[in-house]
Amino acid sequence: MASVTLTDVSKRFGDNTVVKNVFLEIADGEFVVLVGPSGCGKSTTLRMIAGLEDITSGQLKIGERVVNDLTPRDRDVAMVFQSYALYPHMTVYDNISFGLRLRKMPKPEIDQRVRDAAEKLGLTELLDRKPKAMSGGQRQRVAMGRAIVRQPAVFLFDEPLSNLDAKLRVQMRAEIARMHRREGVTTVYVTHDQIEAMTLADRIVVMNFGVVQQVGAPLELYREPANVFVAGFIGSPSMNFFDVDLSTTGGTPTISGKGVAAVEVPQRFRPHLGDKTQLVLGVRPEHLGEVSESPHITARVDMLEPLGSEVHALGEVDDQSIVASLEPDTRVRIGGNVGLRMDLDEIHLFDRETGVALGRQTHQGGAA
Amino acid sequence: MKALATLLWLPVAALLIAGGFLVVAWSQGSADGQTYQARRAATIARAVAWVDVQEAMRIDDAGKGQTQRFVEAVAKTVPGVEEALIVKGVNYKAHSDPARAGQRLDVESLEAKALYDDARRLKANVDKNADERAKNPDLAYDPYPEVELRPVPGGLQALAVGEDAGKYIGTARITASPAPYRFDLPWLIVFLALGLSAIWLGIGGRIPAKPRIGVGVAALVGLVIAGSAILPGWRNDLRRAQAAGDAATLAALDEAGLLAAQAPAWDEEDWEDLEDDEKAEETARITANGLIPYLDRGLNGALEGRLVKVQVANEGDATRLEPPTGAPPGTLLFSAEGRSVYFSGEAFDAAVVEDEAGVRLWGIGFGIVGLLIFLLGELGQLQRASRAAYKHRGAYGYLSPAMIGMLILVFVPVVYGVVLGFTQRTYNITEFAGLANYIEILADTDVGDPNNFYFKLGVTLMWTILNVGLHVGIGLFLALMLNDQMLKARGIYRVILIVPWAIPNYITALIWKGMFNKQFGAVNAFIEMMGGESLSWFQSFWPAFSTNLITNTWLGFPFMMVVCLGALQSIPTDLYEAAWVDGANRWQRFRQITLPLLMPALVPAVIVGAVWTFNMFNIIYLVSGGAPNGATDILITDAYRWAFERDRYGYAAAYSTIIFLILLGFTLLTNRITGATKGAFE
Repeated sequence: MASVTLTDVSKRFGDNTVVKNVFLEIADGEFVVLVGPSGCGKSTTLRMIAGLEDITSGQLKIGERVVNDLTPRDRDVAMVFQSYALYPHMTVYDNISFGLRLRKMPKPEIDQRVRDAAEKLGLTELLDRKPKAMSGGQRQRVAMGRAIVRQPAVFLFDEPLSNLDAKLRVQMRAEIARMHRREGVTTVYVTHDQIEAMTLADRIVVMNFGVVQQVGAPLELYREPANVFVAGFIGSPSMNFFDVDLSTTGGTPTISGKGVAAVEVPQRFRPHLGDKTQLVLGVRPEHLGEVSESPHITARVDMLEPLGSEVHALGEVDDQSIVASLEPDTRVRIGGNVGLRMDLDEIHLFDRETGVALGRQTHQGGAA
Repeated sequence: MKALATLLWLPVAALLIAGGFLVVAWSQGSADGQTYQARRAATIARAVAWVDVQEAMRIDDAGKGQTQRFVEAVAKTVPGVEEALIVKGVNYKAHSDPARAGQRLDVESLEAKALYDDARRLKANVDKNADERAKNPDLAYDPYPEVELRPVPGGLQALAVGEDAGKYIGTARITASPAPYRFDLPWLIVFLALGLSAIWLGIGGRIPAKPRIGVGVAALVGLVIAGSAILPGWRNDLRRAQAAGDAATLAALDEAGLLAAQAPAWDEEDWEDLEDDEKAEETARITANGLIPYLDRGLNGALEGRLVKVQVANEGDATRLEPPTGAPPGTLLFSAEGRSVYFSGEAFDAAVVEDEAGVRLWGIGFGIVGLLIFLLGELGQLQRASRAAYKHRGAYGYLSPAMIGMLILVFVPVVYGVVLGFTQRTYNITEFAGLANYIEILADTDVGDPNNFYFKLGVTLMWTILNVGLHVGIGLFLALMLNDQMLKARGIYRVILIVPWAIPNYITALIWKGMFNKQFGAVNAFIEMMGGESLSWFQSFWPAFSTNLITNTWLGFPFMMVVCLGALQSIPTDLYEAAWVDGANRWQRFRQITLPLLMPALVPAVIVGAVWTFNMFNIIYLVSGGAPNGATDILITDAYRWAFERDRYGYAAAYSTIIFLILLGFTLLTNRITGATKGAFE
């Protein structure tokens, strides 16, 4: 077990910089999830930690060792691949024991470890099968078993659940969380699914275009997104954004914009307003309430998604789309109008030019 | 109803067995018939040639004109002879049409030109043989030179060359329509099978299920034994009928000889007026002239040792139905038109014994097939198969164009080849030979002889193993190189390396053969440039073998390279990365990931490659050409030589069938062991 430290790590393919100046400290035993859209550099970062990609510049340490120039086999890491990468010609037993056999571990110990891992993952019955004869969830478990038996310093997961169906994904997510609790091994986990990130992570690293946007605990990202990207990425359905202009009427700063009635800027933002006048207002669907009088926003409803505990109303305000999470007994109908009021304690304001949230002048972990 | 369906399998099997015996009988009968016609034509042609030789050998004039008279008489007395002639150079020495005797051949006519060419060719053979004998006195003199036969519309043409101790006398040619030859098939075996079936259908249903199979098997075995007993007896009758036919031919020739040998003073009518004893006296005089002793002695060759004596006997002669003095016991007598011909009974008996062995073998074969059908039917396998065929008739319907194509283009030639293996040519006519070809091939254990089958098999196996090993080794190595992502300009290398494969292989073979030329070849030039001594590549076994091996390696590795390259590209990179993270070094990744995952593609390729190489005709034939002395020939080139250089089609077909069986066994075995036809990621 060990910590992982990335210091100013970058990766370039030719002229194309896919990972830019990443600073990241992962504590021993911590579960860190790298999340972001496709091509954001999260997988490349993970593969650099694994040693499957060279590091163009910067320094990577696992524990106290600088591992920049070590091959994967010498880094003491174990990796679970999106495709599981099970050896098709080997039985489950051989797949799991492969790494141990390569390390010339004594047979009885290999057997002990494989059986323990199989026990934990419920694979005991399947040890003689070949990967072809197993379901996706079972293969996923074998891939995890292969990582566990190695008892490595760091676990690396590269989108391990994306090939599973929704139900299995929930199940395996729990399995991974359980495994981490039990083994307590430092884990770096890559996904594009923010729910996985939110449910599994001790800390989430949000990346976009090779740049770390924000690092923080799941709720911290939800509550205090550092910029428009993180605000839009975390949370489902995602945050509604409106361009608003700031004006001061009678000494009270007020924002108003297309489709949004004038609202006084809450007290907590006022010290950070400076001389900015062009802002972005962000409000999450769950912070919009249906009202019959003096709404902040009046939207035409295009679609309703009843989820039981709530209803997502998808609508339009002055050519901008908007999602609101309404009470399940709402009377709103498709094609009708709905009046919405924002919970002003929960709104977010961003600088329209830089996208940075008011009150946070820089990103954590590096400048854009 | 179901019970009846079950019972039907025994009649099916019984009729199949009986039918099998009938087919053997029919093929033997018609083969015998062909031999009989061939023997008859050959005998007549030889007699004509011999009479001509006799005339030529005589110093006095006593035999003058005898050949012409004989030729005319043969056309008259021997049934079916349409034309008989002797040609020497551009002249008819004798012709059954007296108007053409002594005339020049009309070489403008195609037919006469063909005759002229044939005669020339046979003369050349005689001269060549005489030359060879002059050089090598140990060579045996064959007093019965080969007769050439060819079918012509409505009959056979036989050419016999007349020679006297190496001196060419003339070429005799006769054209004869077939002599009457009929045979009835041994229907008894069919009646037996029908009777057996009737009894079975009557009482079989009452036999409890379990013993019923046993009873059925016993009945079929009985049928096979009965068939094996009936067939030789039937064949013996056939042979007797033929012997009688042979006797008639000899008698007719003898008659012609009498007519020919009579002194010119005897005209036909006067001769007919002679008393029997006067004729006999005259005949004795003629006999002294030599024709009868020749028929007695000379035709032995044509009749395969079965003729013992031809004797002219007079009407009322008490001894004429007795075998001649000193004849072996069991000599059979045939008499025709007052002349007697004796055949050896022993030869008869020996032939019957041989027949019995052959028939037993076939009987066992039919028995096994019949029993299989009976058992499979009884146990319900065939019903299931036919139900499946009916159920999936749509699918079979769609398949049928391909199946019919396969049937005509693949199955029929294969079956024809296999059947041809059971035949051999005698007097250049194909006849049934049983297992004789196989026995000749397999029983020869002189393995040191380069022409021996086992020697060839050894060479072929060595050839195959070395080639496939080199192909896979080089191909895999290059594929690994080409698959390396770091390699620049991989496409160019790939194209260059595939080029040897893209060039038609006979061109490559001829180029390499040229390069191995002792005097002008590039290889020797290179060796000399390096200060070595040039080598006669085709003078001894190992260098000649190496030329083949080098050429075929050059031709063969691109295929394995392409196969490996394709398979390598289908291995997910993830697996290598996973193994790398798991701690595998480069070699371990190759050994544990690459190689096992290549196997599903490589094993079928190796099997196919082995079969191709085993049968790689072009390279052997074109590069070493079997040099020295056929030592570097492999089985397939040797089979070709047997067929098209030594004109033994049956033997070559048997050879090919053996090759096929070896490869079939090899494929089934490797397939069983490696599971090569399973899917790649099973």
